[in-house]
Amino acid sequence: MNERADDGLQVVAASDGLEARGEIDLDSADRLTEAVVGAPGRVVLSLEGVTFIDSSGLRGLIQAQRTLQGRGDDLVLRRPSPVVHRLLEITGLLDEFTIEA
Amino acid sequence: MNETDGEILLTLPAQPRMVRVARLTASAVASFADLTVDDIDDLKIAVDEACVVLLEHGDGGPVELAFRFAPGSVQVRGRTAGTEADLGAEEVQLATRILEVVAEDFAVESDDGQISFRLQKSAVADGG
Repeated sequence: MNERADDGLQVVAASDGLEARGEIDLDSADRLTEAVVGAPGRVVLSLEGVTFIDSSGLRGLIQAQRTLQGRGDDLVLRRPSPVVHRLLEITGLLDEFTIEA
Repeated sequence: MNETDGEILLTLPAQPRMVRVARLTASAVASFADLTVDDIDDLKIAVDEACVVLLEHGDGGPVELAFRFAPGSVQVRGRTAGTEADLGAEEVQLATRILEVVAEDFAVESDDGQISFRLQKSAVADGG
């Protein structure tokens, strides 16, 4: 998988999951959600390279997690970048996700 | 008005990708106002969130933004046509929670067929 679009977000396959780079916003959040729920099994999503996220992106992650949990899998957020970590903290969502350092 | 203050008006089509234009403008205006890097990041988030509310709850008409800047401060107002905005919706509450932290004097309202917001970002005088 190597998805690139003009929405500022790149989602690529990593050794054990997916890696998101760039901006997760109203324009790109749905594409990230689709990529996550389209991956098989437990999904580890690396967020180290995310330079921007907003509530649209957070809602996309929540939706992806609910879909994965509905099929018996889990979503793991790996190394959230400072902006991702901050927004998760502000919204009280840090404890809602499995975070991997 | 002199070189250290002013107002920039921006009209954006109601398209999701336009939030990036709003963020870029916010970043540029914040640099005119001599805000710190952290404050600029906060303003970008704030303007993005407010625009998302207008885009998701407006009627599909253009989004009008006004950025007023002065040394150490940026005020942003925005509006779009919206007749049945549900500002109590879950997604608005999530955006509002973020806005209350990253911006000052934030308010959003729906009235007279319009959804509008205002927010402000100021340099923190004590550095804290």
